[in-house]
Amino acid sequence: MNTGPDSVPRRSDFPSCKVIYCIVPDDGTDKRVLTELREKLGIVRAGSQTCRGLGALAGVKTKRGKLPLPSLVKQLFVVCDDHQAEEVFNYIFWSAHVDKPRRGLMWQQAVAGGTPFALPVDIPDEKAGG
Amino acid sequence: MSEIIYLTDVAAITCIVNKDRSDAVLLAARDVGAHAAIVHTGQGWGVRERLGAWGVAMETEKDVIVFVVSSDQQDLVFEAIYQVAELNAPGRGFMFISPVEQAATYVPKAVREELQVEG
Repeated sequence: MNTGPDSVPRRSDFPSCKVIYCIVPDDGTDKRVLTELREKLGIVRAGSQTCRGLGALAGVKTKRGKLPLPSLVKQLFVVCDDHQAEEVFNYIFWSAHVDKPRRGLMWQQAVAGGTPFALPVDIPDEKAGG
Repeated sequence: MSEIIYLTDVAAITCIVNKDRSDAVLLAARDVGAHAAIVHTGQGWGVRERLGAWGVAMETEKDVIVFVVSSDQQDLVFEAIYQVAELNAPGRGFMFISPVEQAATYVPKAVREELQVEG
């Protein structure tokens, strides 16, 4: 990759990759999965954000013109290389228990290009649960 | 442990609208068969700040709504949202559809068995 101090990076320096999104309940699953992805698969281009989830939008009976109550959920997002995508997708599926009822949904999209990301090496990891 | 059923004919619809329109958007999508949505809040700065009555820059809270729907439904949901959110009017927001390569979720046992019979 052409990334010297004086070189201008080109779009072609950043290969296509995949982004995987996963909606999980707000019960700590997101942090656990992110930690496992980093430790077991070396995935660091990832994060999670809080959002309102309206699952079973069509299946819940409500008063006319009213929505079901939303629940607090986490949206996990993971960027990975093309060749790793299948492994990461399957890992998240089983680790986040997406196969169980009311555990969410996940999907994968293609990304035309993504920059690499590295964590600083001289900073110690936080303690578990910290 | 059963196998993963990969859903492939799927699309993601992302819609950015003013906060006061998000319930209407969700209801409209539900009425045409959308099963789930997630909503996150955006601060609402667009490419240009709108000026209020006193010439002060206004901040508008926006909702970013994401629907994952089947490809068969995507046009229906897209059109329903477009109409109810009045996206043809300036400043109301915008929406886009992005292709999804694969999706996975809980598939009830009865549906699994049906798929195996067909499969």
